[in-house]
Amino acid sequence: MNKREDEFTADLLQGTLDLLVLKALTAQPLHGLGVSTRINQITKGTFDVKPGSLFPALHRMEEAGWLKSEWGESENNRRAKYYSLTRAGRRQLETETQDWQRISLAIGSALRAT
Amino acid sequence: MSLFSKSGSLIRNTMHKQRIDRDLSEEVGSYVELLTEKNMKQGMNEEEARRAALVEVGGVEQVKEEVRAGRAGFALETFVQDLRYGFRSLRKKPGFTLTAVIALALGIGANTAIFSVINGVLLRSLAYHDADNIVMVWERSFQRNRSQNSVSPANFLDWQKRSISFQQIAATWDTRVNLTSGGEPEELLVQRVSADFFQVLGVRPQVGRWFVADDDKQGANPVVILSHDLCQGRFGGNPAIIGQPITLSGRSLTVIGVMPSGFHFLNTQIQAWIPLALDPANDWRKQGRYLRSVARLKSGVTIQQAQVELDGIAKQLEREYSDYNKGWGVNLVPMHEQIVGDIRPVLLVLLAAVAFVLLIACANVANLLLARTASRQKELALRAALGASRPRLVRQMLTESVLLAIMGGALGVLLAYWGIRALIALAPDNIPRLNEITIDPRVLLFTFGISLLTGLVFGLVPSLQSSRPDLNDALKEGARASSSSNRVVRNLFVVAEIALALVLLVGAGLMLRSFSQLQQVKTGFHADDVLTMRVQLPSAKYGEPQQRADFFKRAEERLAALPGVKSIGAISYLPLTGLATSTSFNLATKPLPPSESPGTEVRPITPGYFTAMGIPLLKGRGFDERDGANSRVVIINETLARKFFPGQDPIGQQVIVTWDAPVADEIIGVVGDIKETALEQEPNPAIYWPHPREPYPFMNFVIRSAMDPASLSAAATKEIHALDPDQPVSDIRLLDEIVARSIARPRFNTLLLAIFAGVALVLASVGIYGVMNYSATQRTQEIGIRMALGAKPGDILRLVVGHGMKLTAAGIMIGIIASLALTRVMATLLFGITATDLPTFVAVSAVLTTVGLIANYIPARRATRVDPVRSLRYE
Repeated sequence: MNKREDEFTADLLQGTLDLLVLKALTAQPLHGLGVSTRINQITKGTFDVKPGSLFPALHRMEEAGWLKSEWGESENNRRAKYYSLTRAGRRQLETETQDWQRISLAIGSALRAT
Repeated sequence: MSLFSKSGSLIRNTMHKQRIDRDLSEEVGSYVELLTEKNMKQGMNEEEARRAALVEVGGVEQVKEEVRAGRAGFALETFVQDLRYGFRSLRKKPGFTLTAVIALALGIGANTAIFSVINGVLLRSLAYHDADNIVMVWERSFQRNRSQNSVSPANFLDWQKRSISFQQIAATWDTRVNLTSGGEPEELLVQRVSADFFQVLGVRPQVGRWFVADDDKQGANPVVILSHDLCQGRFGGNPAIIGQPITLSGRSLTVIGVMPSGFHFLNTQIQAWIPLALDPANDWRKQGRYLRSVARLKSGVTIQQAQVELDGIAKQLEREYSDYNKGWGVNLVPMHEQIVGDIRPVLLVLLAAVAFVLLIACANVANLLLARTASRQKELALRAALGASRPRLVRQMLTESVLLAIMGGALGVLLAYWGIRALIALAPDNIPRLNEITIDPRVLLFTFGISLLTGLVFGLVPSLQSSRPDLNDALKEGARASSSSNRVVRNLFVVAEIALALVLLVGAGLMLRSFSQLQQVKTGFHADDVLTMRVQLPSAKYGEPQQRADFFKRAEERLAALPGVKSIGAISYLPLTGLATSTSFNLATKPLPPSESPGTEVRPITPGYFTAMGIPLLKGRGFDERDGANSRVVIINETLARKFFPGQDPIGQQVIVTWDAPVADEIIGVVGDIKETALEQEPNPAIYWPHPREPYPFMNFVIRSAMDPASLSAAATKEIHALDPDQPVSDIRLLDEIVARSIARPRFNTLLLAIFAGVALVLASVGIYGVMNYSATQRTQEIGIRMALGAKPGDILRLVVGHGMKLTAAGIMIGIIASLALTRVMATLLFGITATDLPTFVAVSAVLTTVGLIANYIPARRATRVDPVRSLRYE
């Protein structure tokens, strides 16, 4: 079943997924599919976030106060729920970005070491 | 996330659950729509596009479930949901629910009852202040190998003077007095205690004051402290009794206090306390050891340190008074240990027994659940298809089983409540702290805990087993309801049940065998048709030895003349009542120093005693009119004759009993041994004196009757009152009751263990039957095919029974091995047999084999009656 693999990906991306969602929403509010498409774009197709991971993440982050949501209309006049960053969300993005850079730097130098 | 916003979402989520759910459905729906649109833009036709979108989403319900799982309040929400669902599904199967709850209630109830006994007796601290610092101080005889010997007043006074480990040390001595104020004359058991007694125990009188040093002196104003019960019963509970005089054995004493209800020290029958008033000027080393002493350790002093100090003092005393103290030491025992020490092994065995009962109940319920979940497979598969994850399903099933267990626990508490009352009613009164047994919060907590644990234990395997259904198979119509791993687990449960039941039955069997051995022990006397009663003469009225000798002589004559009396005699202490006078003695031909001379029991009797008791005279003559106050004759028992006069005729030989003055007594007779101390103990050497020689103020009459002995009691009491109207008669009992009482404790232990083993046997046989019946039903189709192919009913019977009996045999084997390992802890409780008693093991195995055979045979026979045609259509 692909559900298992899905769970596996989600586990792998624990933390990273939050960062990507926050990043995807910096420019403009997006609906669920928009977030997933945007992540796919900005990671040049490396990450394909499935709804099974995406929606729990969106709802969790909304509960945490990083995102807010409202119903709106899509470009083709379909009703869709749009997510946008709150001020706490922007702060969170900043800290997580810094953390990530520190970690990636450290891992990078660790891997270069002989 | 801040606590505030978290609890905010929790409230929001719980309050607006439905709206949020609708919202979520809509959101996921719109995702699918948008994705379909996107796919169509990329050139798929509409149908293709929607299909691809749905595949990508991977199940709308699963996504929703994932989102829900991440939300605040999810745990609570699902718990409430599981609970509601659990209740509903239990209500749908009342037969299953009732069976499971009853089985669990039996198991949990038995555990609650025994735990409440353990709680009351072993765990709850004693009713004394700071009881952990209270120790009993015994003398230890190295020579007679006695670790808890009574204490000599002289040694007690020296310990008191020399030791620094104790805050206080006190001595006590139980005795009887006659109370003549406030109603009919009545005999009371009182405790003579030294001044610090109440301070050692740290318990103050409810009203009035406790003893001070000045009360405990020779010639002090005589005072008394009453027990709560005596004050209530005899003096109407009136506190004005303080300061009033009461008359005890002809002496007037002033009441200075009343103790709180329930207070007692080592003896629950004590009704009053009187100062001991040991005179330090007296040479107490001319007397024996008869005190019990108790002390409170100074704070910071451990019992080991105190023991070391007292060992040193004992060494000094041994040097200083080597005649009296050679071979004697001191032994400190924690108070709690003193009170509950010898009941602990019994209680732990009983606890193990009820734990086994509960395990069997668990195995039973687990099997029921397995069978049930097998038939629920389809329902579970449906729930999985609708998005329930495996942990979610396991939790759902565990909620159900815990629910069952809690219901069982609630009913169990009720059973335990009745059980405890029955237990207390049945229990012999020499079990310590029996009155302290109740269902208190700790017991309830224990019950709740084991209920939870029970629910998890019996629920875990079935829920793990059935929570991974193969969706396709399970949803198919007419699929086989049970998997092979399911069957293996069920078989294992059967084996475990049989093994557990066997261990319990072996335990109960050993106790029963041991008890029957105990009952067959020859007492050495004839206990039937004998009435006994005690008369204690007050010293104020009967101060002269001659008065006492005369009283008992005349009383015996009057009683002998009563119609229906066959023979009559009297003795100081009746056998098997736990009381005796012991001292040492010497052969006149071979005197040894006091510390090395052998011990003997000494009992003054009237001439008729041996005849009335049915004790045979083996040699020489009995006592008669000739043996008065100045006689120097004794009768000895067989043990003394055998041990000290081997191969000689003891008649005419002389012994010197360590008593007031060392005089030589001539042996004029030898009588048969009787069990004096306990049925399970070999007789000690015993010396009988004629009563006028040592005229005890109290004697126990033994009246052998030609008719119902109980009917004699009124007439006998009247005869005593005819001699002295103020003279109380007490402890009117039948001799065979005394014998029965002496083995009341083993009888009680045996009864309890037998009850638990019986419950275990019933549970186990129901369990075996259930599983066998189920598996025979499962195999209906197979059996039908076999019969269609020509198998005879006999073959089928062999097939089905054979399978069950293999399991039974395995269970019995494992059970026997476990029993051999476990029943060893019972060794101290057994008499006359060992813990590996072969007949018990054989009998128990036979019983279980029979039960297994029956439980297998019934379903097997039903299977042979299957109509092959119908069974092939079955399902």
